[in-house]
Amino acid sequence: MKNFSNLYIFGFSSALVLLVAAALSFTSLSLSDRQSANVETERKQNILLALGVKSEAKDVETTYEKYIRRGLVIKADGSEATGESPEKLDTEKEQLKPAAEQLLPLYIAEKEGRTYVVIPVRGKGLWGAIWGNVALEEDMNTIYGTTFDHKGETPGLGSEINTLKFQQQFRNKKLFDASNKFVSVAVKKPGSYTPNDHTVDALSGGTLTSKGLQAMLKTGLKPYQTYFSQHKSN
Amino acid sequence: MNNFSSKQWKPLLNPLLKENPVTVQVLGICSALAVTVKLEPALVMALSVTAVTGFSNLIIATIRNWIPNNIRIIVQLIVIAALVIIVDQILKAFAYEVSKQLSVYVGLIITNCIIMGRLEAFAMANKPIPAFLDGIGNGCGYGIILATVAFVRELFGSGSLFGWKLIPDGFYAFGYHNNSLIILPPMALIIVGVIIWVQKAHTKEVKK
Repeated sequence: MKNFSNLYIFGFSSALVLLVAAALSFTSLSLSDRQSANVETERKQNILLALGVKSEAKDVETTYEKYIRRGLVIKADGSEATGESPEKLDTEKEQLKPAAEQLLPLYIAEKEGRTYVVIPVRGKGLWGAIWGNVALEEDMNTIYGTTFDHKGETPGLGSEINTLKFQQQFRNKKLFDASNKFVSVAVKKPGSYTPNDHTVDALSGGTLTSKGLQAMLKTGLKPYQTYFSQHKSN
Repeated sequence: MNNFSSKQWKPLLNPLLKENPVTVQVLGICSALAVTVKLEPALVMALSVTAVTGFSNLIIATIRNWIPNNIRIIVQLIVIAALVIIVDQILKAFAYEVSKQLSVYVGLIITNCIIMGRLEAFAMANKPIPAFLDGIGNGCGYGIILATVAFVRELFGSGSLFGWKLIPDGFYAFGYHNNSLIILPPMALIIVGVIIWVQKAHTKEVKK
């Protein structure tokens, strides 16, 4: 094996790193359009899934058109913010703002003659971000369906939030109690509570993910209260 | 192509069975356990690993005379890491669903022992073409084992192949059950063990 001078080693490694960086930037730039299209498709599929509509990647656009009437952005006082689109809204940034200034995305959907609203939520799990969609019935109180997904929760434990079994528990749960106070839905250890309208079973072994999900629902849905009370139909 | 004698094909063919990276060299077991619940992700994983071993072997063998010996491991890692990121990006663009199923395991190809093992053992001392063949061969050898394990696990664990239901509903009516133990990682280890056993029993060469 030849002996190389230090200068050569520095030169060699710099050149190699530059070359690799160039190759990576090129790949990333040339593929980013397709990748963001995939993410967008998945976002739409998840909104539809919250409504109980399954869609294939190839026909998601037509299905989305069929069910989703419109997407809008509302302010905390329940009025619509004009000139904003819910697709482009950065929920993460909005959550850092004071409650009164937050802009909130919302989708209005129609399925089999009934109207639903779908609300995207975002929060923190144990290892990273978790997010989802909550579909509400016309009374703006009863949950019709949910989807949840995560970036990297523990496989087999916290990651189970994206299973149908966990998500279906939320069906027919209520956000408001009898006196019309916002209580959201809690995620509790099975057996530690008597079944009621505001609680679902947590994931065993996924306590911190479950708690994160509970917090995500509460903080994510609370700002919509005013809108809910203005638009509910009994 | 007449001058391509059987000796020159050796780097490609040997790792398929005789020097199989998983069963004989016992490398890359970890991912073999993780991604073999279903056939489709297993095959995509095998393809990704094959691409990375092939091209990293090719690149390292091409520049092997210019790599300073004292930083060779770092150089190998940079090449592997770059290739893995490219593969990951391509999967995210063209096979989004599968890339989600494989999740972290694509990134973990970087730590797959097969790749660095082959770079150190073969690419650093051979010409680019044989090194490329060696990489492809080892990737395929890994793929064969992955596919076999995934075939058994999907068929008996989920009753399907490539997501198609194979076991007729009538079987279930007679009390047939999918074996949920097979879905769990320990069962993959046992299947790999059985494959190694069968292979060892059939191989004539007994090293003493």
